[in-house]
Amino acid sequence: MSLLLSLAMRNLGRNRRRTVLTALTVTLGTALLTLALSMLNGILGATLEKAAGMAGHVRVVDVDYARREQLMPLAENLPDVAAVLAAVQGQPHVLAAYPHIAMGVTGAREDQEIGERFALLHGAPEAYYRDVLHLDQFLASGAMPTADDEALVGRAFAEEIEAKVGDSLIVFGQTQDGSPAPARLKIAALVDLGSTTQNRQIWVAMSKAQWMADLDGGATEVLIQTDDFERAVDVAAGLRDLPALATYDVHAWDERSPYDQIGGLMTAIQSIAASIIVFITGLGVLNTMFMSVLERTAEIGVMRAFGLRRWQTVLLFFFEAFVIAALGGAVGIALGATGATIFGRVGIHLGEGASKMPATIPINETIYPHLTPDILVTGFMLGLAMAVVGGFLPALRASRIQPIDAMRQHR
Amino acid sequence: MRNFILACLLVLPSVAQAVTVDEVLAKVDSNLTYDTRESSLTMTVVKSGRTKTYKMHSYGRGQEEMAMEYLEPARDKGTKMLKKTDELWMWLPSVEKTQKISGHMLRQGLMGSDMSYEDLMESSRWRDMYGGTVAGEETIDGHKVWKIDLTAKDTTVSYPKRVIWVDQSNYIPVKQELYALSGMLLKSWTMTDVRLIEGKEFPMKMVITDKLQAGSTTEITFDSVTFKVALQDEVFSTRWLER
Amino acid sequence: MICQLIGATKVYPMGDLTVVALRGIDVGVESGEFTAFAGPSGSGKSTALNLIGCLDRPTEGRVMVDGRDVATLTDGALGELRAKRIGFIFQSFNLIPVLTAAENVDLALRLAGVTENRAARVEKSLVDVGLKDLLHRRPAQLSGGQQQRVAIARALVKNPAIIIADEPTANLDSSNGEAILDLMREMNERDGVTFLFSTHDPMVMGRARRVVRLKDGAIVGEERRA
Repeated sequence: MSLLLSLAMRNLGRNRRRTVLTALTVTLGTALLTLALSMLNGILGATLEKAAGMAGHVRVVDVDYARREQLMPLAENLPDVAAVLAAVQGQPHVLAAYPHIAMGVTGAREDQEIGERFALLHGAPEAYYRDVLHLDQFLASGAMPTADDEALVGRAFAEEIEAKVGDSLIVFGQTQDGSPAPARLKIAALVDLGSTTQNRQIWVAMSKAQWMADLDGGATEVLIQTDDFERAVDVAAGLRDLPALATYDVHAWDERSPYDQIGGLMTAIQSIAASIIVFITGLGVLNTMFMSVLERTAEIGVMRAFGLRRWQTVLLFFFEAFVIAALGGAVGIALGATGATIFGRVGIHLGEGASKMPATIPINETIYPHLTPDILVTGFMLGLAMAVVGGFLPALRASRIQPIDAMRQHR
Repeated sequence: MRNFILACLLVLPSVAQAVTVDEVLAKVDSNLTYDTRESSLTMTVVKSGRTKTYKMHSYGRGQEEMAMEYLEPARDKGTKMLKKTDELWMWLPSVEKTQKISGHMLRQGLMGSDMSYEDLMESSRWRDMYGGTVAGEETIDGHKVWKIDLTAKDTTVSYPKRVIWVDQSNYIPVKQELYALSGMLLKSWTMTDVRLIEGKEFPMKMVITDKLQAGSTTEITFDSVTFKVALQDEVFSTRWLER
Repeated sequence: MICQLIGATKVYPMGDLTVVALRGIDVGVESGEFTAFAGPSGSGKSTALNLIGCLDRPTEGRVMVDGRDVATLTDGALGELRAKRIGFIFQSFNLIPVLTAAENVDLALRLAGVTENRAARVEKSLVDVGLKDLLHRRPAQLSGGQQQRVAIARALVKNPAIIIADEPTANLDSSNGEAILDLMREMNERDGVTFLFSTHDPMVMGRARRVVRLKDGAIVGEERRA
C-alpha cells in the first residue's frame, strides 16, 4: 500500500504542468463550491433564523387555530395563556415565551376615509419586539413607542396611506366575535425590515390588540424562543408532554408550513449545485487522468509483467487522482473561504425582485454569504469526490492493461 | 242529483285551496311591508361557546330605509347603522368615524352574528326574486304550513335556493332553509311568537342557525314594535349617524 | 525441462483480419540454456516467448512451466508464477522514469512480495551489472546501455528461473549490445539462469548456444553450439 502511495506521489511529478492544471481544475471547482454553499447558507441561515424568530421557535396554539391558521381565527384563542406561560418558563432550552395576537386590519390616516389598505397587525409584549424581532434596530424614523396607543408601522404601509411619524391612523379589525374593532393609533416610528411585504405590518401594545380582539388578557398564540432555533423540534417534543399543554397544538417552526418544505428544498438546491460542480470538475480530472493512463500503457504493462495485480493498478491511479484532488481542494477551500469572508462583509446585491417574496420567506435585497466550518469540510470532501468521479474510469481502464501490451506497444 | 252536488261540494274546497306560489309570496311580502316602524330588540349571538347579547333600537321606513343604534353591551354602545336603498354605513363611536360597508363585507354577519348585512338588506321582495312550487303540506307547532321550494330568478343572490314553510293561517314563513347554488345548506331561519300588531302579523322571535359551523346561532327577540310612527327624514341621514 | 510448448497455436484478430502468429509449434527448453528464438519480423518469435513467459495464453496447445500446464492456473496464480519465477527484459528498457535505478530494481522485488534484505540484494544486482555508482540516477540521466543494464538487474534481482528478453539489443549500438550480451552470458554461466531471447540480430544469434529458427509461425530449423 505504501508502495502504491509513494509511486503515486512520484508520478505526480512526471508531468508537472499537467498535474498543476488538474489540481487547478479541482481548486476552481472547490472554490466555487465553497462560495456557492456559503451563499446559499447566507440566504438560508439568516433568513431562516429571522423567520424562526417571527414564527416562534416553538408555537403553542389552540388545535382549531392551527387547523384554520390561514384565517387567523381570533375565536380559537388560548383559553388560559397564563397557565401556558407558567408551564413553559424554566423548561430546558427555553429562553422566553411571549403571548401574541395577529389579525388583519384595514387602515387609513385619521383625516381620511377608512380605506382599503390592508396590514397585518401584531400585539405582543414590548420585550418580544425588542429581543426577538429586534425592531429597535430597524427603525427608519421615529422611536420605540412609549404609550399603549402608539404603534410601530411598517414603511410600505405608511407610504400607502401617506402617513408619517407623529400622524394618527385609524385601523379597522374585528373582535373574536366578529363585531367591529376600530382603533386609533399614533405612529411612534416607521420600521423597515427590508422587503415590501414585511413592511406592511403594524406592531401595537399587547393590551391594545387584546382590546381590539376582545380577548381579555388572552392571546391566540404563545411564541417560545429557544437557545438554538435549529433544534427547536426537540424542544417542541419535550414541551408537548407537559400536562398544561396536553390539549394544545405545540410545534416547532420548521414543522409548520411553509418551513417544513423549505428545509428540504434548500437541501435539494444545495445538493444539485454541489453535484453539478463536482461532476464538471470530475470531468476535468477524468480527462487528464485518461491521458496519463494512455501514455503509460507500456510502463503499466511492464509492472503487470513484474507482478502488479489489477486492483493495485486501480489503486495506483486512484491515489494519483486523490492526491491531486486533496492538494487542489485544500487550495480551493482556502480561496473559497477568503471569497466568502470578503463577500460576507460587503454583501452581494440581488436587487428588488428578492424583496417581493411572501412575508414568511424574508429574503432581503442584499445577500451576505455565511461560511461555516461544515461548509469547509463539505467542500473538501466534495473535492475528494471529484477525484472519485474523475479517477474512477481511468483507473479501471488502467487495470485492463495486460502485460502483453507492454510488448505490443513497440511492434 | 244530491249526491252529485255533495260530490261537487267536497271537491270545490280542495280546488279552492290549490294556492299558487305567487299568491303566497305576495302575502308573505306584504306582512313584512310597512310604512314606518320603530322597535327595540335584543340579539343574542352564540358562537364557539361564547354568548354575546346586544340590545338595539331601530327605525324603519318603507323597505329602503333603516337606522339602528346599539345600546348594549358597553363596548359597542353608540355604534349606529344606516341603510338607504342599497347602501350601508356604520358609525364607530370609539374612533368617531363612519365606515361604509360594501363588497365582500356585506356577506359578513352583523356584529358577527348569523344574520349577514346582506340578509338585512334583502328587503321583502321574495315575490320578485323567487319562483317555485308548492311541495306539500306539513304541520309545525300545531299549525298547518305549506312547504314551498323556491329557486331564485337571478342566481347571483345570496341564497339561490330556499325551502320555506309558510303558516297557512298568517302567511308567516315560520321556517326556512337557505341553500347555495350547489345545494349545500347554509342557514336555517325560524320565525315564531307571531303577534297581531296594528293589523299586521309580526314574528317577535327569530332564530338563525349557521349550518356550516356547529354551535353557531343568533336569536333576535323584539322587545317592542310600533308601526305607523312619525319619523323625521333626518333619522335616515348620515348626519344622524354622526350625532 | 524447465519449460515447453506443445502444439502451441496463437491466433488473434487485428482489425478485420485474423493473424495466425504461431502454428502448432513444439519446442522444449532445459534449465540453464542460453537460447535465441530467431526469425524475421512476424515470424512468431515474440509470440512464442510471450507464451513461455506466461504473458499470454495459447489459442490451442499447451504451455508447460516447471512441469505444470499453465492452462490449469488462474490468472492470479499465473501472475504469481511470473512474479517469482520469470524475469523480463524489454527492447525499450521500460524503466519507470520517476524512479531511480535502485528503486526500479527494488520495485521488482516488492512486486514479487519480497520483504527482507531488499536493499542489499538491489545493490548487489546493480553492482553485478557494473552500475555501482549510478544507483540513484533516474533513467533520464542514464545512457541506453546503462538503462538496459538496470533492466537486467531488475530482471535478475529476484533470482528467477527463466529470463525472457525481447530483442534486448535492438535499441543499443553494437558495442553496447555486445557488452550487454556478454553480461547476460556471464549471469547465465554463473548462476544457471535460463535465458531465452527473441531476436533477428545476427550478433545475438552468434553468442547464443542454441538457436531456434522460426518463419511464418512455424519452426524451420535449429542449431546448437558450444
